[in-house]
Amino acid sequence: MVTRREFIRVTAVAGGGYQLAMTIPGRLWRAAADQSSGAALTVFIHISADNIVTITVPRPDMGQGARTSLPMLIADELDAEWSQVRVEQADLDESRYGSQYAGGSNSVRAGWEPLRRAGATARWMLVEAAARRWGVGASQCETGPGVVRHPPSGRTARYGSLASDAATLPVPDDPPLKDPAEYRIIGRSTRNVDAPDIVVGSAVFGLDAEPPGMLRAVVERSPVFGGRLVSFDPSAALAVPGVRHVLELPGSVFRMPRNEPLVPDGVAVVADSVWAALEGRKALRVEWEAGPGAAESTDAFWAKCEAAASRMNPTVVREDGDITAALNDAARRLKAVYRLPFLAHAQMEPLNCVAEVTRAGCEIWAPTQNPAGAREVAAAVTGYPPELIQVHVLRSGGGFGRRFYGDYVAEAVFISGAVGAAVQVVWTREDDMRHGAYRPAGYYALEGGLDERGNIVAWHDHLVNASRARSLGRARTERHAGQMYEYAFPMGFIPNVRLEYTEVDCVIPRGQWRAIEDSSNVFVLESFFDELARAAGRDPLDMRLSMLGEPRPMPYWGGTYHTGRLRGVLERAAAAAEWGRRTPAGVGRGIAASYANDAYVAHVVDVALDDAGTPRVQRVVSAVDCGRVVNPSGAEAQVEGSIIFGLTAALYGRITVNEGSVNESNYHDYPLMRLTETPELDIHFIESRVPPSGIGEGALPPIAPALTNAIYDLTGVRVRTLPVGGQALRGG
Amino acid sequence: MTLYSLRINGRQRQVEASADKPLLWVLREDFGLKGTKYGCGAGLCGACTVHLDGEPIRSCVTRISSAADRSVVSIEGLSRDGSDPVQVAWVERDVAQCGYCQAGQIMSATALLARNPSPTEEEVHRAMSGNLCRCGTYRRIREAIQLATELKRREQ
Repeated sequence: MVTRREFIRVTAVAGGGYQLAMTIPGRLWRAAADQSSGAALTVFIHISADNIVTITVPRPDMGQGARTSLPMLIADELDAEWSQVRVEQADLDESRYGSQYAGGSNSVRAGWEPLRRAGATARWMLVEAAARRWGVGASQCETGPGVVRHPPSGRTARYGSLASDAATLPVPDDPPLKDPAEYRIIGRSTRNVDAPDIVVGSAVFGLDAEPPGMLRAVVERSPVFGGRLVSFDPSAALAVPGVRHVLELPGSVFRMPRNEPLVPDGVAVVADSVWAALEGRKALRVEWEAGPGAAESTDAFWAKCEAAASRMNPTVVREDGDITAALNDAARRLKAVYRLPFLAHAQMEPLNCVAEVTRAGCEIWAPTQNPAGAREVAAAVTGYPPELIQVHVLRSGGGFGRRFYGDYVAEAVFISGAVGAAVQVVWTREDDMRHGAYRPAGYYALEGGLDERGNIVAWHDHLVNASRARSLGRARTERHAGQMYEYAFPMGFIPNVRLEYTEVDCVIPRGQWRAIEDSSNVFVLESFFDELARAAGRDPLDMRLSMLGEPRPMPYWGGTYHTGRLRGVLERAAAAAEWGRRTPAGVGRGIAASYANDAYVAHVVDVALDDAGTPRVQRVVSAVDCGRVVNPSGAEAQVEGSIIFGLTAALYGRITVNEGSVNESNYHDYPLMRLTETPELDIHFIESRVPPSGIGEGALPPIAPALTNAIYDLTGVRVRTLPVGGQALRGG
Repeated sequence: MTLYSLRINGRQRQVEASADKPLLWVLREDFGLKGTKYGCGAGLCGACTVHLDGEPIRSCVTRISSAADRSVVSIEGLSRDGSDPVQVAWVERDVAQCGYCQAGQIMSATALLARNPSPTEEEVHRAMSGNLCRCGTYRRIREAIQLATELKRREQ
């Protein structure tokens, strides 16, 4: 048994400060990681003699606000003065900090216990140091922002003056945590700590990194998925001023770790500047062998899905009651096919990475969500042991899942090693759009049954897709996991259910995309539910509430969710939106909700059509229960962002493929919502004492069905294929 | 390669470049002004917005030859210390999530307010519709522009 004392180290450092490190031994960390609930985080707290508290943030920030919310947890328990807190980004060192990825809305959830504990540990030691200095009992002392006080004698000491004494003290086993009523920082809107740098242009993003002597590289990649390089003529490229090297990038032979995308074959142009590299790439002449990928298209994919949907050998992922009998006996049966497209991440900062490979090791500067993954990739490409690979984490201009992967890291590492210099590989927008790790497309064939009283008695769904797991892990898994919604409402509330899954082959690479499978599944669930409610002549909100029934826990992927909290957000959003009141003429209203990514969210959308028949979202009213809210401004920003991200996908998002190549290339054919289209947003958080969950993703899944349910309310047209854009919505 | 003179953030500068090199890469790589961001390279997203003789332009599709002998202001040149009312409002309204597009957003907003101190909602929309934000900060951008308008009015 390892006690906490054994893995908390305190060391005095030069300059009179001290550092507190919580270190989780390797074997414990691995055990925790396997449970995928997130290992304990560890952090450094450094207090300088002049009272500056420097907090090292273990997780990357891609806009989700980890660099603000995680230090808030530490600073509150430390009782620090927030204006004296400075934030530093941790390099990769999971033996020191615990798990360091940013994904699965996990940063706050996983940091809640260990980061508060780290703050409380440091606070306890500062109090103890003051008590010893004054010769009083620690229990007579208290802390205020940045100071220890002894009220009986009126003495006070700033943290900076106590830090070096505190560093010599034993580390407490179980320092007391604050009563939540005493929180001063947690629960208060706190501005993005990087905002002052961002507004003057000094925040350093991945693309801004520049170690001395760095060269820039762009890569011409196989235009067809899985294509091979036959030959290339570098002479014209080498004639471009500033171009230094042109070399083959044999991506297809890299032994990428499991769960990383394959690296396409390519030709790298390395130059003094990005512009020279781009000009050089334009001048390249390359011959490709397209290979079997050339037969791939999204049209062919849909045809494959349709054929597979009628085959009789799917994997059954949930079966309740007797679906065949229930459908036969149903008073009313509804059939529907839903199709969801492949989607790109389209984060504003295209992929990029700096690597410097020498004989001594490899150093990486990456805007990544997954620094440990970057190290694994670099180890695979260089053959170096992990301890020779250093990873510095840079701010990401958006991630949304794409930066979880290390294909661009592999390119930078390979090119740097080949040319013997630090190299930044820069993807253009077109590279980024055409070589993605796309949200999997899905084909859902549904049939539902209602009884005479309008209750749902049968729900049959067969999902056909090409999963992300098989794209990236590449090994064919016998039994699928995680593609469908077998635990999501209304599963478990309908007596006869059969959920089936069939996987089809596809060369289009798939990966994590904000809210992962829930981004598709919740659309289907909440849309078809609305269809059944409308067919039964029932109000879709009332029908949800009556089915949810008494508040209780329900099973959910090995854990539980609480029906009372789902009901809570539905009721709150409905009340705020005045659900049930007639909408003005020309306005449709829709509702949808989900428990996804550990957050309960309901949206009510009001939509109208403009003169051209294009839907205009007028207002979104949202209710969110993500437990205790650490940073209200940041949490609300994530909900705002998820709504816009989800509406963008619902209205416009679609990646199509022809002859093995992605058709879309830039924001003209993969459009994003604009300021002009931004609806009124009215977001309500449920007050909660439950420990916080993440909110980077959970508000995304129900926004698309809330929109299309509103479109149905307005027009009578049921949108079952996304995106909405381009479909005729009048005259339903 | 040609030698070009231009004024950048108030200083006269010279750069040797081919005529078609985009101003974006001149700013970022020749002058180390990395606040101006590369987003699309095609004038579609607005992340690279700077002022050319006071007008907001997309530096990724503006050749250095067409910026010659003119005055360029990038995000670094807006104020010494982030004290431009638009910058102040941006911090106050906690606009940025990832922050990558925000320099371009701020340059579009400052250009708007410089020529139109009290824009209507319609005018704000028109001025800002070319700046994309994948994080979806639009509501706060709208609020920050409104606040900046008030701050500027109070300044006078």
